[in-house]
Amino acid sequence: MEKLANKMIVIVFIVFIFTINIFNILMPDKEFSESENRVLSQFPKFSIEKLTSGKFTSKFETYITDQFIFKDFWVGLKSDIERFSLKNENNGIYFGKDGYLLEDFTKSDEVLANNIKSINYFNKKLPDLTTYFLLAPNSVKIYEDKLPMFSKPYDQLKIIDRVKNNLNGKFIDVYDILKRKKDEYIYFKTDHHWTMRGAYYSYREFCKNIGLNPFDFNKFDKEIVSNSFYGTFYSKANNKHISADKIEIFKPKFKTSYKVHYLDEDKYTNTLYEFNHLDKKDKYSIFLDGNHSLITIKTDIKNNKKLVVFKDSYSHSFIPFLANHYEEIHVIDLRYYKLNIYDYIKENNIDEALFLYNVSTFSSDENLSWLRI
Amino acid sequence: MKKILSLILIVTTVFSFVGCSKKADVNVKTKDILDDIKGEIAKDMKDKGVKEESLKDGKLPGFMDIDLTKEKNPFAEILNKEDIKEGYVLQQMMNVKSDLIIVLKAKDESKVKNLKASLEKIKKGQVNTWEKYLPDQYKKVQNNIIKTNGKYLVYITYDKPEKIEEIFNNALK
Repeated sequence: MEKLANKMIVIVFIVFIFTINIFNILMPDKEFSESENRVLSQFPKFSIEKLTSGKFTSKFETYITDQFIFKDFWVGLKSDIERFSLKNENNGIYFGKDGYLLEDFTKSDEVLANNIKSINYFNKKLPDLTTYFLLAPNSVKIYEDKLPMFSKPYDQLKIIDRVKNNLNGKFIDVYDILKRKKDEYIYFKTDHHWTMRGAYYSYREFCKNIGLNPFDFNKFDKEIVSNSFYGTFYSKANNKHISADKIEIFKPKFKTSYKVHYLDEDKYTNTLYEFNHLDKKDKYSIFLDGNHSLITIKTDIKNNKKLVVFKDSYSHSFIPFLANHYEEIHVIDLRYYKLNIYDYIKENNIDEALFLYNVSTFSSDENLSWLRI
Repeated sequence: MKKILSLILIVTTVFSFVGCSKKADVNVKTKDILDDIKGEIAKDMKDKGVKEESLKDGKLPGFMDIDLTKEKNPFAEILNKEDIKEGYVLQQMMNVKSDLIIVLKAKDESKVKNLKASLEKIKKGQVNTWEKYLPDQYKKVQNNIIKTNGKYLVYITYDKPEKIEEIFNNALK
């Protein structure tokens, strides 16, 4: 009897090992993982030189791990077991209360100091230009009460205060208003962006600070355009049991007219939304078509006000509100636009500048050094 | 017998010392290495259907290069000018793409370590820019190659980094 049991174990074991391997060889390789939102490694090219340098074997290893049979299932299983054993973080993402995924935040003094220096340099170089700076906190600060026990991300309020105290130019503080509105849906639960609602409250604060008259909440129709948005935090955290986000857009009830030009693709449109992205993974790109180096928006408001925005992607859901106040908005992303911005500002007779960043980008992105030319 | 043995010993020692001594210092302009690299990228662009006349005279549409020894350059903060004898950056002018190539010649060998650390920092910056956006561009950053050869260093984020690395190696042979 015992012998039979041993035999069974041996047989099951051998069958398991062989079928997994046969499946691994037979199943076609995948190019892209939707759930993880990344390109998967392909079979590496072989050469003697690569073999001796060890590159081939290390690439082969990543190839095998990326293309392992039923990978999504195994990864999900691992993540579930970890959740079950009370692990509350994965890849720098905390599993917060009420379905909130929150990204750990660590400070970088050097980058932050450099970025403040860059903006002050810009300010000094263009004294006639009015410069505003809006620094948006991330969800990890606004929803700190939802963080799991014993997690200690660096306090973003300290960063905000430090920037406020060291920056020349007008600083627009949106922390208080966002904290007050935190019971509304102002940040995505599965993505690193704020929602258009969060952007709206910040827009009101911005207007109040610079003497503009913001449009009231009820001047917009709110429409849910997607119920199935899984953002970047979701991809990083890699757990299947997180519910999707909704995407809400604010449509003005009044008449508007925009001419939008995307320079890098030389594409013209007359809308601030690109709905085709709702069928893809990165649905936040509905706002201003995602990241571009330079976007110009011309409106039918004839007030001769021209604004340049230096920004990260938080601005994409914010700029649609500004578009109802300026004749021209030039949106520059310093991560991709490497030409001389001072020439650009001069050529286009721009008289106002807005820097809009979230705390996480502003303390890690080094591309603001392109201002120092 | 002993004499012969000691002679052999002396000869082998001398030879082994010769083996240790360095070959003559290579002296190649980083600008020339960069031009070779640009030639390769132009070839790839042609294969992808970019018209030949827009690639004339070493032109690469969409790319720009930056001389790192110039007084004001955006890399001055991260790549210390004191450490660099010559150096160029080749990068996208305004396309949302991660391609970035840097060729450096250190002032002397002691600076190589510093420069390598700076290149690692640049890579960290690229990871930060791309990990949350456009997976295909991020893949290029992940496949990045940083290599040193004597006083020379190269940083490659490109579709086919091995090809560029080969050009760098061949230039310094």
